Amino acid sequence: MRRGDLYRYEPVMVRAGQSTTRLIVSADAVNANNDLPTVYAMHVVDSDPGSLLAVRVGGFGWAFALEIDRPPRRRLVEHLGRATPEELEQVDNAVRAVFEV
Amino acid sequence: MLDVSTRAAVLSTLDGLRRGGEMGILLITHDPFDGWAVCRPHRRRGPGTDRRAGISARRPAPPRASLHEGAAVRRPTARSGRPTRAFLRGETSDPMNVAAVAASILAAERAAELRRGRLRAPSTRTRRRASIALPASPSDQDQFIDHVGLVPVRTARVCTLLRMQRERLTVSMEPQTAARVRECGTRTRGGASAYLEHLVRQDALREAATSAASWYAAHPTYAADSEAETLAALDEIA
Repeated sequence: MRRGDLYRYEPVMVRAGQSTTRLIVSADAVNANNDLPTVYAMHVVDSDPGSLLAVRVGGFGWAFALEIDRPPRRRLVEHLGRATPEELEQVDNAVRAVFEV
Repeated sequence: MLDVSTRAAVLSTLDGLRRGGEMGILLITHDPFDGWAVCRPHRRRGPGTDRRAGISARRPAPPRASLHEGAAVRRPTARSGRPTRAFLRGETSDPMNVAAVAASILAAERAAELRRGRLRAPSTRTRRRASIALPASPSDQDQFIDHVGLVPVRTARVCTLLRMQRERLTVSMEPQTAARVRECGTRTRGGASAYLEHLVRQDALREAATSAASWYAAHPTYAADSEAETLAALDEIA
C-alpha cells in the first residue's frame, strides 16, 4: 500500500450515496508499517465538490480534501489503481489549502 | 535595485553562510528563469588539497562518467595563493527543463575551457561522457549538481526551487489601495507580493469552501454517514 494508491473500501454498513473508493494520502512510512491498524485516506466521490478542494483522479471520481478519514487496513480490500504524480501534486495542494500549511 | 555596496554586503553574507555551512547556494530571481550563471571555485587536482576551495575540495572526486575533464583544472594564482573562480553565464531555450539548463551549462563550461586551451576538442568518447552527466535520471542529476559545484544542494531541492518561480504581474489600482498594499506588504514576510498572494489564495479558498458547502447541501447525509461509518470501523479494531 502506497501513497497515491486507490482502494475499494468495504463498509461496515452499506449506506446509499457513500463513496467506497479511497485515495491513500498518509506517508509511505506509515503505510508500510502493517502494525499500524489504520492509514489516512481521502474519499473519492462521484460528483465534483469544488475546484480547489477536490481533485479529479482518473475515471474514479474526485478526491475530496474535506473527507479524509482513517480506515482500518483490512477494510481496504481491493487495489483499484494509482493517481498520477500530477494528480497527487494537486491533492497535496488541496490538503495544504484545507489545513493552511 | 539595491546600491552596489548593499548588494556586495548581501553577497558577502551569503558567501559567508555558504562557507560556514558547507553548502551551495542557488540564486533564482522571481523573473522567469531564462538564463543562468554559475560561480564556483576552481579546484586543484587531487582531493583535499585546498581548503579555500570549500566543499568542492573535500568531496570525493566525480565519477569518470561525469565530464571529469570539464572540472576545474586551474591552479591557484601564484600571487595570492587563492583559488580563482569560474564565472559562466548563459541562456537556455527551455528554462523549465532542468536537463536543458544542465546541458547549456556543461556546453558553456566546455567552450570556456576550450577557449583557454585547457581542454582538447571533444572526442566522441567525451561527448558520450557529457551526455551521461546530464540530469536525465536522479543519479545523473546528483552527478550534475556535484559537478557544477552547487553542492550540496540536491537536485530535488533545485527542482523545487524551479517550481517555485514567480511570475511578474503588473496591476493598476487607485492610489489609496496601492498605499494600503504597500503598507500591509511591509508587515508581511515576502512583502507586497506575498501579501497579495495571500489575499488571492484566501479568496480562492473561500470560493472552494462555498462550492463544497453546496455539495454537502446536495448530499445532506454524507458527512454524518461518513462519521458513523468511521466510528463503526474503528470500533472493530478497538
